[in-house]
Amino acid sequence: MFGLVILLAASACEDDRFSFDDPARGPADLVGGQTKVSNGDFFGGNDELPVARPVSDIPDDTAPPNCGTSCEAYCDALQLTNPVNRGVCKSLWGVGLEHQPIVRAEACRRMFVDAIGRFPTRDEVVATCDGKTWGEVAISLINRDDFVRLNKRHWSDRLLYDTQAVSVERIYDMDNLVAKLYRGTIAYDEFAAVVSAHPVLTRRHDTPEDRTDALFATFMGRPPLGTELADMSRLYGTWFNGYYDHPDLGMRLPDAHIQYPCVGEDGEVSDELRASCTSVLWGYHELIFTPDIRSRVDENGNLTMWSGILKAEEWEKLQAPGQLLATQPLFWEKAVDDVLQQYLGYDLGHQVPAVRDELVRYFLEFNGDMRALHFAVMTSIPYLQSTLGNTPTDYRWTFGPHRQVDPETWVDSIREMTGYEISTCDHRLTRPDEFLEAGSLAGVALVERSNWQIRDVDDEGNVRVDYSYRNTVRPLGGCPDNTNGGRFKIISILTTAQQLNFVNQVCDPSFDGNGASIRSLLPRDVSGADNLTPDLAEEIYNYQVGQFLGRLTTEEERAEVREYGEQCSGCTAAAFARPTCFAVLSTAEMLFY
Amino acid sequence: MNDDSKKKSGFNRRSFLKGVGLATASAAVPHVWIPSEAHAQQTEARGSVKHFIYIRLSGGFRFTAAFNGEVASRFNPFGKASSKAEGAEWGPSSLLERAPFLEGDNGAALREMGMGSVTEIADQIAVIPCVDHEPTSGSADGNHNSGLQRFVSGYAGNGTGIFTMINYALRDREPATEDGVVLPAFVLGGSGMANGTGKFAGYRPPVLQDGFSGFGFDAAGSLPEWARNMSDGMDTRYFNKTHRIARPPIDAYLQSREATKRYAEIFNDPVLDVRQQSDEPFDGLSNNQLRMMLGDSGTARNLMLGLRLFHFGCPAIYMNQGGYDMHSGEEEGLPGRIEQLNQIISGLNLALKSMTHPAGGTYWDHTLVMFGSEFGRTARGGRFNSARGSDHGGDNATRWMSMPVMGGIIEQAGNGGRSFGGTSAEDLNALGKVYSYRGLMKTVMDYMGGDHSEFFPADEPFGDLTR
Repeated sequence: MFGLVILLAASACEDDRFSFDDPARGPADLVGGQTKVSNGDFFGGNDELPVARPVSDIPDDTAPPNCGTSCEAYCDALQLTNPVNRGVCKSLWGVGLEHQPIVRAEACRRMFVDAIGRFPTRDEVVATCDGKTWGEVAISLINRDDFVRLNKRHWSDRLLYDTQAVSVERIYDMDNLVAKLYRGTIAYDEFAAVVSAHPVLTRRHDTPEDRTDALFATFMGRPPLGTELADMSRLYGTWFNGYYDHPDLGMRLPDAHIQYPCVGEDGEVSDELRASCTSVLWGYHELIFTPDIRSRVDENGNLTMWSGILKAEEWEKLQAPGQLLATQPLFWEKAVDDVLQQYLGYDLGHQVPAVRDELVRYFLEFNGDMRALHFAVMTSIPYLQSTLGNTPTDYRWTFGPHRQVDPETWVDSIREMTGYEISTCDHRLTRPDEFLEAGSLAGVALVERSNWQIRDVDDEGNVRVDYSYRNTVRPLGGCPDNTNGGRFKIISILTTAQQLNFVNQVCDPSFDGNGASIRSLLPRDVSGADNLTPDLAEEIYNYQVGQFLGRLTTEEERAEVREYGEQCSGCTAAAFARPTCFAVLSTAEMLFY
Repeated sequence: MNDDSKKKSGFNRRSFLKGVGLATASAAVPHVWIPSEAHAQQTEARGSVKHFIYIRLSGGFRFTAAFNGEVASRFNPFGKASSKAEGAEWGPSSLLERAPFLEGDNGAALREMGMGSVTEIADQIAVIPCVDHEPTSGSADGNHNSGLQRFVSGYAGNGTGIFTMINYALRDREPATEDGVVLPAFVLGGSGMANGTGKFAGYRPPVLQDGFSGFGFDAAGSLPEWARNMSDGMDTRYFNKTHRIARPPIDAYLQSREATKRYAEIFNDPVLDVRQQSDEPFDGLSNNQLRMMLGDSGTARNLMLGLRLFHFGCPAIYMNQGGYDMHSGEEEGLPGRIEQLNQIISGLNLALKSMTHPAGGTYWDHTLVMFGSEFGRTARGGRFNSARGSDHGGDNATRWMSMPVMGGIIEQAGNGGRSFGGTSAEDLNALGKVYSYRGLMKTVMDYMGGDHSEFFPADEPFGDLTR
């Protein structure tokens, strides 16, 4: 109710400068319309599973496999369409190695986590994956809003969103730009161009060299060479880190400004100054701004212009660094490597360069449509194959990916599966308290419309953010505030203790109260008060394994659980279900996938 | 934990620090190897500090308006303190005189116990007016991103935080008591100090956001035996069926899961539940007494928790205080905001002196307290900027962190109230020594007896504070 009052009050003073629903302001608004950059008719999602070419000796995994003429002919004859499969063939089937079997429930669960950031229930596995080709499954996941949401979070980690260093309006703008990339309405090179001149990057870093470094790290995967650094930094000398006063938020926000390093005191651009604003390494590119009526002398005595009043053509001019990098093969290879790493957790592009080459070709064939790249990797056999069981060699691509789950994925999944109430966090507003404390209605409304949840109002009428989710997730490495570094993944005694404690709160095996509803832990037709029998114990276990782990139970498990049912003498269904919940949710199978 | 249980577990008590991080996928940061003997410089007071409290005044703090206040009004628009304790060399600003916590009945009781305003205890605090991230640099780093990176890790772009370094430096530390466990340094909110890559990743300090509720769970006490067996069985099956190359992280999880049982006891100790309104003294002060001294802010609660953790052997705690990035409204807002800081300083001074340490003496004797920030603040020539606040740029006002430090070893060395260096009142140029921030952090590690030889090879610890 309080929130409604805030929103109504804020609405009354809303104007066209600021919307707390979408406060985005920046160049993302100038690119990408409704038209998709490709037809979306991605191929390669339905390759026949190849078998290994019969060979006398399989390769020794101390060296990369060597694919000879017969091997190449074998791979060509397979007529594989998936670019990853095509690329990996000469290091897998062609040299006599087998992939691991594809276990549908396991692969489907992996796709859910990687595509939409949540473990599926058994029902979702059946509904989404059974009876469908992997291509159909992949495209159905890619078309979900959660696919976009998850990748927004990935980019917030890469660009280190932090409202203390960058204006919140710019962060929202970048978030919108990422959405366009993953909805296929802008191409990857266009995306990179906008990022290269976006205040989220330029304001986050302090000097032209820092900005060049950051751009190279983001899109080339390596630091710039000395000549590259010197040359491209000339295109970044125009940026200046300043502030602007936000009339609605009542805050002074950090933001990028334009300065005029190539304009002399006489207001003219001399040849000498011109050279210091010109890149020549990738062709002749001059980036010179001259002061006009929009410029002003700031408190530091510098003549600058706030980037919030740049025109569309000026934004485009500033995007030269990203445009230049996109002309380099490494730019596209890095994009491919990033996606391979995102899905596989290891650098297949380096280990089997043919995979990278095939994927770059595929990516360009779809005009840099990021969805194509995700589709191709998600439907490839190296990705879909099982992680279970051993293989005769240790070549990493001969068995499936195995990774630790992100803390947000872990908590979100448990919340979704059990209905346990816990708030959430918002990667765009890293410091919600600063907006609440700004003393403006717009600041409160912005937090309220974000993914943060307002918990209550204190005696003085101040609202507070519910940090229950952040307090659980941040010690595990998620919900970073990005002040220094960001997301991390670690297994330690204390992170494990934190996880076990959270599972304990959710499952409440000691019946302390405040756990998830017993309804979420029992099959539909079972009551918590029902007397436990071995049959019922098995039914409960089957239900929970299906619900939480998305798979069917094994015969061995079922036999064991019947014994546990007998040991739980005199138990009700609830008394068995809550400890079972703890056992299932705290298993390593929930932490890795 | 009794001796029997130790025997049963076979747990090496010294393994906690080594087991803080059992596995990580973090990439190693390349570094230049330099023979350690060339950089193993030590202070005379090496090993004399058992506990370190480090408080970040977050957002960039206007040090000249607090701990280096006897300067021109464009640096300290609030003016210098009207009086200060005799013998204090450094210049407190008028803001440090503010002490509403010493008013009323409670205030009278606190005064009775020996608590004074910051200016009244200025002779027990030393200040280092010119601490700089990069003493050889031409200007300050006033960037929120890289400035803070330098603060939490020494360098811009360094992946290992100071508190991770502290845990690594103390990796061979003995348990505090015969029956105790080796607790690591803790970060109480804000994870930058707790970063760590490569071989240091395993020494990342735990980051507590909301007390110990998340760490004290003991599955053995909550689950029936059949459920424990079910849990173990599921983990074992998953481990066994997974490809052998993929097993190490699972193994790390299973090991850490086993180890949590041994730490549940300490984390469940009611002493660590500092929210309890208890009048029961522990180490000489009850929760309620601590609360009266330190206040009821989040920082105060973190400090209470930290002091209790010290009892169990925790060597260091780090926390954020305030929120001083006041580009606007500083003129009106800073005086009120700094009152909480004043209470923290005054209250901590009294609390440490009032608490008896398990090793003998008081906590004051064994503890070093330090306040810092990512950078100072400037109004670029005016008293305030146009929004009545201050900014951060490349000038001296941004550059110098005028860091206060207090504790038994400072006082015992006769350095309470000292100013280690100074600045010109008019232009804030350094008049004395400029200290390297990295050298200061190595000094702290050295005071704690840690092995700092692998960190900051170009910066040495210095003994000035205790000489």
